Amino acid sequence: MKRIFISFTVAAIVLISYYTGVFFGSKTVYIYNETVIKSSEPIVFRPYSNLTNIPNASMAKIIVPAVDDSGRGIATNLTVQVVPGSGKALVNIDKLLFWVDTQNSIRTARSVAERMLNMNISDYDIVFAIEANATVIEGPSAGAAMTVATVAALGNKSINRSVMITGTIKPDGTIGLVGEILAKANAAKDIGAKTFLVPVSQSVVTTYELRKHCEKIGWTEICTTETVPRKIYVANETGINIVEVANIGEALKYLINY
Amino acid sequence: MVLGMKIIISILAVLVILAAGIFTGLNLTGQISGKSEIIEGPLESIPHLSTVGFAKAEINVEPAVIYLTSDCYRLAMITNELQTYSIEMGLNNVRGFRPLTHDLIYDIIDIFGIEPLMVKIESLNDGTYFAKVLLKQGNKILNMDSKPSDAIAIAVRTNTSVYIKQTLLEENGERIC
Repeated sequence: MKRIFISFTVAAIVLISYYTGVFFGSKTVYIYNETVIKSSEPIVFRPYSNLTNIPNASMAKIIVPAVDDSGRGIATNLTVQVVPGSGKALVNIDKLLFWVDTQNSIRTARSVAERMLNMNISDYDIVFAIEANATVIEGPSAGAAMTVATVAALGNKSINRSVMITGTIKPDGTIGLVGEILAKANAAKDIGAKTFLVPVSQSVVTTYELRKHCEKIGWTEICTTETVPRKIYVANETGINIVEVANIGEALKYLINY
Repeated sequence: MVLGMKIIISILAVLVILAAGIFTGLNLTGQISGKSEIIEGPLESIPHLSTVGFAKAEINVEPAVIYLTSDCYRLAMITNELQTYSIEMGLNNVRGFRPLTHDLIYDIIDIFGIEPLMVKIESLNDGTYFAKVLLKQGNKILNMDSKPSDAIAIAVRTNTSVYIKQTLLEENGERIC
């Protein structure tokens, strides 16, 4: 009887100690890892020089939030002047280069503005100039701002400085999607805007996170990775009032001082 | 005195048994011992490796299109030409003048003794297919989120089976026989 008792005791100690070892050795590890991957569209505004003063010109100035090479939001000053001429769209290329996509935006902006105001501008030249800390102007995302500034210049109206806009311009006057909305919204806020107009659906930005989860099944540890979308409300994230605008007509209600 | 010796010997015996048990337990998990020998359980018990409801697919490509064929169904996935070029290079077991990204991944898998287990194309969400690449090293399995095109480019280089969910194949594929 005594021997049986001792045998059971030893067996119990062996089992308990073994499972103690297993327990400490097989501790399940849960790892949560995040990497934010931003969706982006290349849109970089780079510099230029001051606009030459042209007499008899109607002028409009608008500040366009943009993103520099390092992803920081910066302010660019866009000036549009309407001067007597022969219907040309001119670009001040002193010290900077406009890429073809920006040139297309200028052409579209001019055409949309002309139709919106229902006026013949064949006797005027429109001079576009951008002032920014860069050497190359690329990306179409200032298209909507260019159109607004052109309408303001042609209509001899001033632009509400507390409102800024980002978006491409399409030939029918609709405003198209752009990248880096968060950085641009931050830039708009930093340079004094109270309201930031964005293309439809872009008041919410989706970012993607990598999630890693490890679990133990038997002797094997299995780690699973997943890419999970996360919605960010730009207004909440940046603290600026965000308004979605579908077309230039809607944008003008906020931007033009009538 | 004799009783004292007996007690000490008993305590020592218990401690030896206890230490041996803990050491054995730790060792078998392969976590703390630091030894390369790892005792593994059967992989069949791991649900991530189950292929129930999946069909093994044969891979073919055209520029910017990947075809997955299984039984009487063929499913076309649209991708880009760079991806299908890489898959074709892998299918033909050809390397270019400089290694492609998938060649580099293959080299890492090969040199570091990682065992590719399978590729599973699991779901379709908003027009986008989602795949998993399952890799094993020692007693660790990585069930890695991947674009199907990348997963397939790795699979064709490592002779790994590509499985697609049967329902995806039937609902989105074309019946060819």
